[in-house]
Amino acid sequence: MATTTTDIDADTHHDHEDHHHGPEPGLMRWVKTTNHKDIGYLYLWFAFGMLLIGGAMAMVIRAELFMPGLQFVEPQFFNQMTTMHGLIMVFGAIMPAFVGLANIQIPTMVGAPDMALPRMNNWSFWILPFAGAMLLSTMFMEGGGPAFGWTFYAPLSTTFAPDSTDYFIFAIHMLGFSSIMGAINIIATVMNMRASGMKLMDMPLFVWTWFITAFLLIAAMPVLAGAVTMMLTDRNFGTSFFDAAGGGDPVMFQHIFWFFGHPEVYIMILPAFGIVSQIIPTFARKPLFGYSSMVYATGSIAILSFVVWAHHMFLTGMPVAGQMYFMYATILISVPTGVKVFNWVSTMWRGSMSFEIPMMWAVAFVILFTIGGLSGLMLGIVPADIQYHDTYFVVAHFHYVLVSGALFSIIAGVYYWLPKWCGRMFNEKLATIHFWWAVISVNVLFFPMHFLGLAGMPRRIPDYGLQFADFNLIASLGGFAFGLSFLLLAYIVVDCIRNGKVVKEARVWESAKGLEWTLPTPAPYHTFNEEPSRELILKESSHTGDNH
Amino acid sequence: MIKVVVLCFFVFILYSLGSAGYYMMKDPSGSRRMLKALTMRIGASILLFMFLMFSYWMGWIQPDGAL
Amino acid sequence: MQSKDQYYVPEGSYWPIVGSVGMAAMLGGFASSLHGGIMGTGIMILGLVIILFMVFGWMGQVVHESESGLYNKQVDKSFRIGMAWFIFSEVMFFAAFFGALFYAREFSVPWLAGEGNNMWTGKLLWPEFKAVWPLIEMPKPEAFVVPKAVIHAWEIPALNTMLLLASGATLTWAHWALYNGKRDQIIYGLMATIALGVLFLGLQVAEYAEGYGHLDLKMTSGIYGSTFYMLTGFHGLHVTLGTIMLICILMRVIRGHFDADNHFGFEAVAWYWHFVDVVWLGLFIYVYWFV
Repeated sequence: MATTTTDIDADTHHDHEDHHHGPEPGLMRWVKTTNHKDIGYLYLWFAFGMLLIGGAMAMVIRAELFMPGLQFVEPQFFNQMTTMHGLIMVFGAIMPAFVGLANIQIPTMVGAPDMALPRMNNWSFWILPFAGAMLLSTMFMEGGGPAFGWTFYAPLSTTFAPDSTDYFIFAIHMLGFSSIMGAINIIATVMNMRASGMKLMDMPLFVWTWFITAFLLIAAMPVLAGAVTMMLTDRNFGTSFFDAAGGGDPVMFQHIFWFFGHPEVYIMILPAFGIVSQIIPTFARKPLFGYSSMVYATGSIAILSFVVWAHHMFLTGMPVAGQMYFMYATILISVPTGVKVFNWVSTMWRGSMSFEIPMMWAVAFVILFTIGGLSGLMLGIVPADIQYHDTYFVVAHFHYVLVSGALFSIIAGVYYWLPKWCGRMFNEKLATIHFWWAVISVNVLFFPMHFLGLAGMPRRIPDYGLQFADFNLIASLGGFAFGLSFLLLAYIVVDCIRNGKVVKEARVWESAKGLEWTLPTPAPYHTFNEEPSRELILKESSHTGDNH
Repeated sequence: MIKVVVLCFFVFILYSLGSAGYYMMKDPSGSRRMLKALTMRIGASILLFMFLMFSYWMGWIQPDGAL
Repeated sequence: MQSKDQYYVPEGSYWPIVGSVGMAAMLGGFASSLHGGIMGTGIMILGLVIILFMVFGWMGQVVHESESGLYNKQVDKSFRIGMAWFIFSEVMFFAAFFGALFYAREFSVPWLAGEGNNMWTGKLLWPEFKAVWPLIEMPKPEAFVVPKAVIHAWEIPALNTMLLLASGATLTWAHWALYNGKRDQIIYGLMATIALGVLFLGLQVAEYAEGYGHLDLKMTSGIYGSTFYMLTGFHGLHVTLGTIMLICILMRVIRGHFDADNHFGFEAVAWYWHFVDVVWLGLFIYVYWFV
């Protein structure tokens, strides 16, 4: 029984107490573990594995689109690639990576010994490999895997889908179950395990953004479960939720899906905001500008995310009043998001900046995410969206926010906290090469897609007209280069863990603030055995100072 | 009109159920606030059901949805 | 129970991985059986058994740890927060299906009949179709099972509403008894609640038999049948789970667990039951009664 104690009264003693015990030996450590760091590492490695699989699919897509005409794969297989790429990246890579970072970091940032519900935490992770395997196994079934796009609109996913779709449905159920349990755990940890000296408005922004994200998950994931359940019964038990002949409506699927889907995109970006808000003050050597406005902006974005879903459906048929409402509500989100971008810039303003690796990624995030955000505004305008809808402009938009946004922030977070986790510094020369390689190739990959989309190239097609050839060639070259950069990332991380220069300082980055930097390096197996004091929390707050 | 009354009842029931959940979460075992909220919840539900039966008896509503 | 100034982290456990294996087997087997897999149903049942084994093993361990005084106030509170937000996720799951019901009733059915700016939809697709709710005759009746009627609200459903409301009352009675330390009254209250729950389920089965056997109201009866069976079916599933949990709580009460200051398990299950009760009230008003 790993009972860690502070200020023990004599009568609360247990005979089976053992302080500071390490992990149990052997592989079973990882299966049975209730330790938040173990589970977090499992999440991160799982996410990285899925990222490589989903990335390999993206390589197939870019190879096929390298030139006009059908070169390598059948159109049906191409559709499977685009579908599975999206599903794996969203549910297998980005979301688990953020949950992994939350698992490792949140207890250390709120001064807790572990997550609030450690066994359930283990279960949230150990559902994922099974769900991921079930999702991937559809590729090898008769009729192939899902080929209807990651949004699985009915009736493509009901009437016209292969048998394997039912496995896909259950994989989504399992992934959703895992996400809900993960979110409940984060809420309970933040509410209940936070050091008693830490008030809500003392929490670091990564904790705040994840706390809000967890509510989004709990509200949105069950709706997705409902949507796929309706799909399941429509496919197998003759219900007619999405069948107009029975009084249902295929458009209803889109409403239910996007009621989940729009909060989902904020689920993937709010934690990214949190990571960047941790990194920028460290390397600008200034308190975060406008901490409370950051918190309120995050909350506003979360609330607004539930009332804008139909901006994904401007072309599916909607009363004009509906289009107007959803357009204005969508554009409104740019206000809190703009607050965030200006706060990051103001944090850097007249700071004594230095550009260590995590900072470079964070700055790249701010610039590239803003590009993605602005193209999102363009898409949110109804008359313009009629032109952009379902073109490569949309692809460019959401890859700018999800790849150079969410994924870059994850990489930034890993570079930022990795030395703390393993007590070793990564090879900074290689990491610099990695950064420039990735940041240049990602733009070569995705920027031309804006032009393709404006010129009218539709998404989800294996072949295209000759007029799109040049930009596609450039994008594919960028894509291959960007894909390769992840092998370099893998090498840098493994090399760091094995042979990196040993770091002893608790504060790996000299001006980093936050409770996690008061722990010894490498971070001990059990995090806080003693509750950190209020003085320490205030001293370590990354936002105290002029603006507090 | 009946619709509005029913909706008001229902919102109140949801509110008392929700507040019971809030008290369950916030209060330690031994606090009675949750139990009181749940008692209100069941009381309001029974009243609502009686109201529905009464309106049916008075002929204000029909089971085919005509109000 | 200990004070909060001591942290508690439970020891490692095999239960989660057992649960994952069970879940994968159950759902994978189900999917396989849907497409004529020979082993599918067997694997599904095996998975279900594994999950039940996991639930009872895991919960048993938690109850044991709780009763041996390992937990402190902080653990108790974590459980409370977890349960509250779990039920919130259940609310959102039901909301998706209620949303489908309202969408069909208020939008898709009238639109298919040509309401609003959908005149051509009505004229071109199924010109004969009339929008009425409950939807007996769907736009393309020959492709579906047309029911003779839907379940009448003032027959079994009204009786079932009374049963569930009564069960909510008996549970609240038992809950008060828990505070006042009257163990006999808790046991009688819980027993009555369980009996009412089981009776409710029996009547629900009878209602389904009536729907399938006499009224031709089936899941394949267009959007009304779809929403009716999915909503009441998921509700019935939750009543079943709630009844099982109440039985576990009853056995714990008989064994002398819980007192006025330490009874999170009781509160959690009670709240779950009240939630299921409210969902039923929503079903009664909006599914059976069409308000």
